[in-house]
Formats: sequence, C-alpha cells, structure tokens
Amino acid sequence: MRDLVRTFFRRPAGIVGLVLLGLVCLMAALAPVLYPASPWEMTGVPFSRPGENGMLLGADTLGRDVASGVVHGARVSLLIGIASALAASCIGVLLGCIAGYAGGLVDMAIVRFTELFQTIPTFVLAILLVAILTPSLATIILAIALVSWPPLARLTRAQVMSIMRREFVQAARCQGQSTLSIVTRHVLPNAISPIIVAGSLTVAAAILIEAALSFMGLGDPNFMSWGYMIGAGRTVIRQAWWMSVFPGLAILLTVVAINLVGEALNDALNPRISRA
Amino acid sequence: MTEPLLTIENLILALPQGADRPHAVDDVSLSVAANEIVCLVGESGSGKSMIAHTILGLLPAKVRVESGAVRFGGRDLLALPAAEMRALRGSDIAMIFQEPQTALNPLKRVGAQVAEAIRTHDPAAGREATSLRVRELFEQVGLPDPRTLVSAYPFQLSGGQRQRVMIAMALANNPSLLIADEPTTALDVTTQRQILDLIRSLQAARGMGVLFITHDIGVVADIADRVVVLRRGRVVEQGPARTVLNQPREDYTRQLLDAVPGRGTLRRAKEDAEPLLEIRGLQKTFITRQGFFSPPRRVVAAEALDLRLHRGETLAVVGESGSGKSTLARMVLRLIEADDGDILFAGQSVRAMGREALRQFRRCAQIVFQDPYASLDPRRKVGESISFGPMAHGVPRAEAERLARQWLERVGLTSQAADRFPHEFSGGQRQRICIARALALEPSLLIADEAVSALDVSVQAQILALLAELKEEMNLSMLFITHDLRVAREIADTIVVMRAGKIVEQNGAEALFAAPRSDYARSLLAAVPGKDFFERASARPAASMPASGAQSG
Repeated sequence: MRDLVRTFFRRPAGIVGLVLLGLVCLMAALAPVLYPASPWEMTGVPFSRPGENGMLLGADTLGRDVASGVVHGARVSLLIGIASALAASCIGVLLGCIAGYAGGLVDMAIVRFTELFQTIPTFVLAILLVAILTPSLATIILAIALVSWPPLARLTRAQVMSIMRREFVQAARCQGQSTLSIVTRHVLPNAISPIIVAGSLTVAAAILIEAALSFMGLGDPNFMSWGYMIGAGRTVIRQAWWMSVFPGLAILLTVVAINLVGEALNDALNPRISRA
Repeated sequence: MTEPLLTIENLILALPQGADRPHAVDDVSLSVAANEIVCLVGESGSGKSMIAHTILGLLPAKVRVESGAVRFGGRDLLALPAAEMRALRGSDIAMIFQEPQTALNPLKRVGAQVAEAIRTHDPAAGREATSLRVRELFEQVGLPDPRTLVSAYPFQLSGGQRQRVMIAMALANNPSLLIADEPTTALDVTTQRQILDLIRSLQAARGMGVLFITHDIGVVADIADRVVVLRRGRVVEQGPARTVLNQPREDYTRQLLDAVPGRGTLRRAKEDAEPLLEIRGLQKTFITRQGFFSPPRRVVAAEALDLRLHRGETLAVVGESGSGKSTLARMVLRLIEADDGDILFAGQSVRAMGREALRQFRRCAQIVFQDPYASLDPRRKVGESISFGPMAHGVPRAEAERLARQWLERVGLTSQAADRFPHEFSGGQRQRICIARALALEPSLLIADEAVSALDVSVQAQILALLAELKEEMNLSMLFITHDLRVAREIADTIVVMRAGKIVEQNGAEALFAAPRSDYARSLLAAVPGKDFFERASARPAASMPASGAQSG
C-alpha cells in the first residue's frame, strides 16, 4: 500500500491530476456557500461580459450567473460520473467474473450478450434510453451505466480467465474452498488493478456522455449542468463566447484530471513499475 | 600452458543498498584458456550469472563494478567503449541462455535469426553465402533436416531443438569463447545429455574456451575440465575437475556433491498393503482446433493407464515433458477431466463423485505444484493461504491460524512467516510453504507434481528429506511426479516410466535401477548427468568420499 502511494506521487501527472480533481470536488462541495442562490435564478443583466455587473464569468442570455452554473454543475457532473461508473463496474465485473469463471456455454451466452450492447452505438443507445425513461438524474445514471459496462465486462473476463489458470487457484480448489471464496479471496484481488484503472477512466467518459445528453436537452431539468449550459449558449457563441467556453473548460479540466489520475493509478498498481 | 583466453581478476560487484548482501560478487578471480571447459558451480543467488553478464557488459543498471578487471585477448573488457563491446559480443564471445523458450524471437523464422547474427558482424556476407552457412551450422548442431528447419518458427520446435538453434546462433561467428548460462537446466534429462554432448564435441572440434554455468554438480562431472565453486559471491574452491570432485578440500563442495540426488539406498516396495489409489484404463486426448478448415490437433496425454498406489507407498511417475505425467496428476484430482477409465480412491470412484464428495476427497488428496512462484497467491499472506484450507472444512478461524503457524514451524520456517507475503521468500522456502498448505488438511495422499524440479540441487535435497520425514510421520502415500530419475530414486518405492501418454515400464525402484526392462528406461538411466562419476565414486571405498550422512540441512 505504501509502495502504491509512493509510486503514485512520484509521477507529476498523478499529482497534477489529483490537485485538479481536488479543486473540482472542492468547488462542488462549496457550491451552496459560494453561490447560495439557485443557478437558475436570473440575477443579472443578460449578456453581461465576464467581470461586468459583479459577475465573474458573465451572464447568459437570460441573465443567469455563469460562474454559479459552473460551480453547481460540478456537483451534477461528478455525481453522475461517479455513480454511473460505479454502476457500470458492478454490472461489468459481475458478468465478467461469471463468464470468466464458468466458461463454456455460460461464457458464450454472456459474451454474445455483451457484444449485442457493443454493436449499438453507445451514444445513440443512451439517448434512446433517456428519451424513453424521461430525463431525470436516476434515469441518466442508469442509461450511462447500461451503455458503459461492456468494456469492463470484457476486461474482467480476460483477467479472471488468465488468473483462473494460475496454480494458486488450483491449489485453492484442492483445499476445498467454495467457488465464491476462491473468486473473492484469490481471483478478484489479483485481477482488480486494471479494472480499477478502467473504472476510473469510465468516470471521465460518463461525464462526457452526461454533458452531451444535456447539450441535446436530455438532462435533468431540475439540475444545472455543464452540458446544458453549453447547449443553451451555443446559438449565441459568436456574440457571447463566455456562455459556452467556461462550462466547456470545466468539462475539459475534470476529464483530463480523471484521466491523469487513472494513468498514474495504472502505473502505481503495476508491480513491475511500483517496485522498481 | 598457453596464455589464458579470459582472465577475471579480483572482480567485485556492488549490489544496491538494501540487498541481502553488499557485494554480488566478492573478489573473484578465474581464467578460461582456449580449448577447455571451465564450470562455474553454485546455488542460485551465488552470483554466477552476474559474472557471465559482467563479461559481456550486460549487467543490470543497479549493479556496479566496484573494482577488478576482465581481460580478454589482452584488452580490459570493463574499460571497453560500447561500440567495441558490441563488435565483440556475438562474434568473439558468444552466449547461450537458460530459457530457449524466451531467447528466440517468436515471430521470426529460426534460420533468419541465425542469419541475422552472421550479418550483424559481417555485413558484406552475401545472401547465398549466409544461408549456406546457416545450413552448415544447423547440421553441425545436429538439427534434423536443416533444409526445411531453417524456415521453421520457434514454436514449431521442441525445447531441445530451440537450444540447438541458440547454439548455432552462438557459433555463427566462430567465437573463441562461449559462455553458457545454465543451458540445460530447463531441459529434460535425455535432451540435456544430448546438448551436453554437443557442447563438448563442438568445443573440442573448434578448440573453444567454454565458461559453463550450472547449479548441478552432476553436469560438472560430465563436462568440466576445471571447476570454480562459488558461494554467496566468493570463490570457495577451484581447480581441475578431477581433483575438486574426487578430493574436495572444502566442506561446501562436499555438501554440493552430497546433495546430488539418486545415490541413497533404494527402497523396496511393500507387497502386502491394499491399494489406496487405483487407476484403470485412464484415457485422455487433448484436441485443439487450429482453424476452420485445418484438421484439429490431437495430443494423447493418457492411453489406457493402469496404476496402483498402495498405502504408505511412494510411487514415482517419471517421463520427459509432454509424456502426460502432469496431466495424470491433475486427472486424479479432477482438475482436468479424464475421457475414459476409472480412478478409485480407497475403493470409491473419483470420477463419479458429486460436488461435496469431491470436496471431501480433495481434502484427503493434496497436491504440491512445480512452480513455487506461481502456486502461492501473491496478494495473500502466507498464513492466510494455509489457513483457508482448514477453514473451508469448518475449522474456526483462530484455530486454523494456529494450525497454519504450527505447520510453518513444522516445515522448517518460523511462525512469524505467516504474516509475510510470498515474494519475501526464496524458492525453497516457498515450496516448504506449499507443503505446509497441503499437509494442514491432513491428507492421506500427497501428489507432488515436479515439486523439486524448479529448485537448486542442494535445496532439492532438503525438500526431499522433509517430504520423506513427513511421509513417515503422517503415514502418507505419495504420487511423485518428476522428470529426473535421480530424484525418483531418492524417494520412490515403485517407479512408473511414461512416454507419450503410455506406461513404458512399471517396476520396483530396486529392480528398475538394477535391470531396466525397457529400452526407454535404459536410455533415461544412461542420460543421468554425472552418472559415471558418481558410480565410480560410490564404487571406491569411503575413504575418498565422505559418508553421505554428512549432509544435514
């Protein structure tokens, strides 16, 4: 564990990513303190430039504070990103484990089922699901999770299959340990590092999907989100760039931060790098 | 004697801080003359490979040459610029590695790889001339049908053939010095014999100097002109092979000699006892589909196998790799399902067992695997790996942990070992842990699948002694799988010789060694390294050889 932390922090990418991610989290946590008013409230003069009328990042077409929207939007983006990545990991790891451990017909059925999902373009399926289920936080999380689990399932399956062949697993079977105990005690702990890394990258992808959904007007109408802000500001981008650019920058920074953390985690969890 | 080809003078290699000792190699001096084979013997960790790597300038970045000189043809190799070193490598000094599996590029035809070795040092060599030379080399190293073999890929060749290709590559530029780093350790006994003979004859024909690195003193007895015994980075003893082997001056050399298995008194098979394990007509064929249209590849791993293991007996299954002996072990435990036949354990059919019955059976029949590095979960503490077994059979956690510590002590480790991870232990220690894990379930049958093959000869002797002791104490029956007849001789009552999935000979150990019935068993016996030497040694009165009771460990 100490090795892991040490390697993680030896990489500048990991530190930069963690600091950026920390800032985004802080922003999300402090949103009600920084901007107690709802981000939907029209508090200023429409089309105020950044810095004008006391608004740091300017106002949008209806006079809503862009800075307030960015800060509040961080909560939605992070929540959706993390919750849907977790849900996707649960589905993916469970199915991947079953397929990898059971093999044979079960494996074949699960792989075909996974392929079914992979052949449908991810984003189209997400739009479809949200449109059918009516947009809300829960349905968006569900839709994103349902479209992002297949790569995780395939990764888990490959990992489990290679570890199942190792002799210590056979030794555990000979000891008489139950299947569940073998999988949870021996297989998963040895398989988990690349899955954690892939899972962390899924968070970034989920944030992007959520932004795209909101951009198309399929976000939860009760919550201000970065994607929605870009979507609302896009028609006037030539007159008022700040309405789209600041939420866009927020998305960019968050996704880059998560990717950097994921990469550093990848190195740290690789014993050949971390022990060198 | 003429000027030596290679001289190493007072070489000291410094290890990075935090290693188990400050110097990998401490004040080592040795020399290799033209037309002689010098054997560098030592256990793993003695620094013998480090010396080989120093000569070729291939040391890992963390190891530093502190002082000393390596002279080759009047030049100090340690001070040589990188470009000149490159010109020397593979031309005047060539090297053969231990693992023929990984030393060849899997994506390139073997002929092209040897040709590349020639062209690297002789860019002017024409296409025709090169390929002619490659074919000549293949012929010299005894590869069958060189004309077609040059266009084979490494995966199409056997381990022994690959090692021959490696030797051809090493000889491609007529080196005056050949460094062989455990070139036969990964090979079967019979293949090892062939490769040793090949190196010997090529050396004599070309008048090469050979620095041969090995941990097996039996191999030394077969090929060495001179011997250097290395221990923990220091030279213990060196001199002409005959003198060092026949009149060792140092205790350590004597220990190494005594550790060579296969010279103890033979055991006689017990006649009376009822069979604990009986195998009848066992069949297994592996079928791998290679493609949509090509016919599937069939490998027969077991063909009508019949075996009987009596209670309290040790049955050794001996064979080369690919003979189906490991598959047999796995079929007994149903880690691999057999195609046909019966396995009876204490009268019950193993193949007909349901889930729970199989679980109970596996408690009584435990296995120790070959590779101590792969058979322990790297993310679990050693104590947990052991205690999970009894816990799975209803022993409470605290009791199971106590049991684990007790067993660790019993196999010669401390009870504190339970809180450490596998990577903190050496190969021999790990194998002790694996034995503790197997025996913590108090089995009546122990299957050892090449359990000592991955270990140094001296560690091997210790593990074999431990197994014999525990077997006596717990009245175990053992199915011992090995490719090494010397090891089988050390431990077995009855020996079964397998080849290509069939039993070639099934005989009492005594009878098999005295008068083998099959040609194959005879050829296996003849291939044992150091056979002549040890036979002569044991024929002589005990005066020159210390009693074998001196080995304690």
